[in-house]
Amino acid sequence: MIAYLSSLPGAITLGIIWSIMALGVFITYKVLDIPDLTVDGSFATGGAVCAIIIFNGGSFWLGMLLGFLAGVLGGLITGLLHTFLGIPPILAGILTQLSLWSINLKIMLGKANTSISARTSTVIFSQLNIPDALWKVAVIVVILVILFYIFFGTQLGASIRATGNNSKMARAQGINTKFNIVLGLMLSNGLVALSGALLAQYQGFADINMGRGAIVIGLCAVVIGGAITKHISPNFLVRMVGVVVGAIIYYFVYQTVVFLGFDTDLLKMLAAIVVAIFLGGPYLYTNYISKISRRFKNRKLVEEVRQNDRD
Amino acid sequence: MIEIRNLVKIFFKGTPSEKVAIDHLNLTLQEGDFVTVIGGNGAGKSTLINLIAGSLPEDEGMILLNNNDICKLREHQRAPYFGRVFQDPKVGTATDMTIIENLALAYGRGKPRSLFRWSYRKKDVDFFTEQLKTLDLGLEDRLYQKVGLLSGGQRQALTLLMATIRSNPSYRRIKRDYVWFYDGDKKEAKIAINKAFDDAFNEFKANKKEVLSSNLSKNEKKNKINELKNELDKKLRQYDVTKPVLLLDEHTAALDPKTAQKVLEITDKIVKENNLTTIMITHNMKDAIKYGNRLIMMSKGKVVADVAGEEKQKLTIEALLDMFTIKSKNDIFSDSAIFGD
Repeated sequence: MIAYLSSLPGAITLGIIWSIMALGVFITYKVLDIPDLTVDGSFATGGAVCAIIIFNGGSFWLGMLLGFLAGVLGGLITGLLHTFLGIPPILAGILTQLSLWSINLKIMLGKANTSISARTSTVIFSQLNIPDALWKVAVIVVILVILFYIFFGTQLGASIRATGNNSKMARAQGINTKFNIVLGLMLSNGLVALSGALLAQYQGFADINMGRGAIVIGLCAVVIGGAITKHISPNFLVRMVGVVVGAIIYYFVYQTVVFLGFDTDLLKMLAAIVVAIFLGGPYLYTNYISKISRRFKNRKLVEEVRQNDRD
Repeated sequence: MIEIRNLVKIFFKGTPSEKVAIDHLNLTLQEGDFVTVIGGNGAGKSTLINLIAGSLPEDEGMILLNNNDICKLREHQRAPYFGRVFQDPKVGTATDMTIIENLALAYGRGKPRSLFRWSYRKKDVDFFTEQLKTLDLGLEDRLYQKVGLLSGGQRQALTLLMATIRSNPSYRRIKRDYVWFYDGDKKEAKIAINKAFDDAFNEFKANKKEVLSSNLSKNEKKNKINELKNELDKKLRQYDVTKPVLLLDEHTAALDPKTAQKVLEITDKIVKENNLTTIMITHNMKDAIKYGNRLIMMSKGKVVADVAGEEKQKLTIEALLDMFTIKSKNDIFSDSAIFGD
């Protein structure tokens, strides 16, 4: 039990690091209403760029900045594939993601991983000192949430929200929806890459496969966050905080499941199942379960009416 | 003024299901015309509006706005010159955003969306409240509610307001549009407008100096200068040649008769107050006769009848139906079936 409790701060730290990625997914999936699969690639890109710079003696600030910009570039490519060439967004994301895998390998000079241990290089935080990492990443995420809340309150941010909400209306009101979609994808993937850069430093290495399934974790956080905040407030800030909380909950559950001795090979499947339940649950309820329960109610009513008739 | 020349739109071109939606259509609308458009399903009414607004690319022909070809402009670039209300109340507004955010989006039409400005400011709130009051639907008390909570009629009224409110364009845009829409030598127009603006500014500066050097109290000086500023603004806004053209695509079709009537009354009021050029598609013959100063009948992508002025005021539904059966011989059945009120 003590082992479990002592593992929780680490889980929370990981959750907050991933929540930055989840915020990126939130921007595309919820705000722009575009499911963007680039994130699996750009997450690793951010980690790879940051790691290679730190590995070669660069400062971690530079590494994170360039990692962020690399992600922005990935988003730009997906955006252009979608808006300029008219490729459906899911396909555009997959194409970029696939090419990013090769690019990531090239960034890391052909190796599948790059080690940036805190013992040998300077990093912003690492899992060797979890309390330090926890407060640092918490500060970063608070700053990001506030920044993005401000951003979506500006004219530009509001026009992006309108683009995702009703693109026909947005165009009729003179909003360049294509530009906004590209901009949203760039910002989103920048955040995702930043999250990858932070994770690489935290775990002490960047890996070519670190982004695999990232989209599922991001969606997990977004849908859990959405389920929590749905009943609290439709406020944008609340929704973003919900996403962060969602990511923390995800890692909390993850840690618990691992501690209970769940086969770790099956964890990705578990994540997918959780997302499927959360995404499919409301549909299942309105289309099947509520109908069945209503049928039972109706049957009761009919019986009552019959009873009354007999009386 | 809108002039449509030889406009052609063909759907599914080159396939067996090819359909000519707009067939070499010619139409000229004068400034301030309120045109009602009637015609059967598939006559090309909605396609026409979508072509004018730029939602669809045209195959041939030209659309001129104040003597300028707007076909090269994309949909969002044309938006400052048009205000649209759609048939489906859901389409005209962003449902997940609040009423005031929607109004602010419409208010910024034709201006760059800035990263350094809030989507709406305090002084805008008062203006929006005032505008919403004119609708008389009680929306002014619900500024911060999501549009998704409104009824269809309320949404259409809001969309109508959004289509017509447009913030004052910047001086740069006024100049640009003046030159762009100028009928004649554009270079001359550019010189003329620049001179007019410079003169106005110089006059303002001279007057301001005079006020500042006079021995008035501080407050009086301030008031005087504000007056001068307003005068200057008024002078420069005279050169604003663009007013949004209203494009109404059966905007009352999805509403119950009573609400539809109310929305139509609001439409009429807004159009008359602002003297807007308007194109209104309707399926209701009574409304087509009652509103506007000109009536156009479309069939198979062409204008088959065009009635204006006194002649239009004398129109009756029977006369219109007769005209319809004569003008569109081949699809009498479908059309009269729809129009038989």
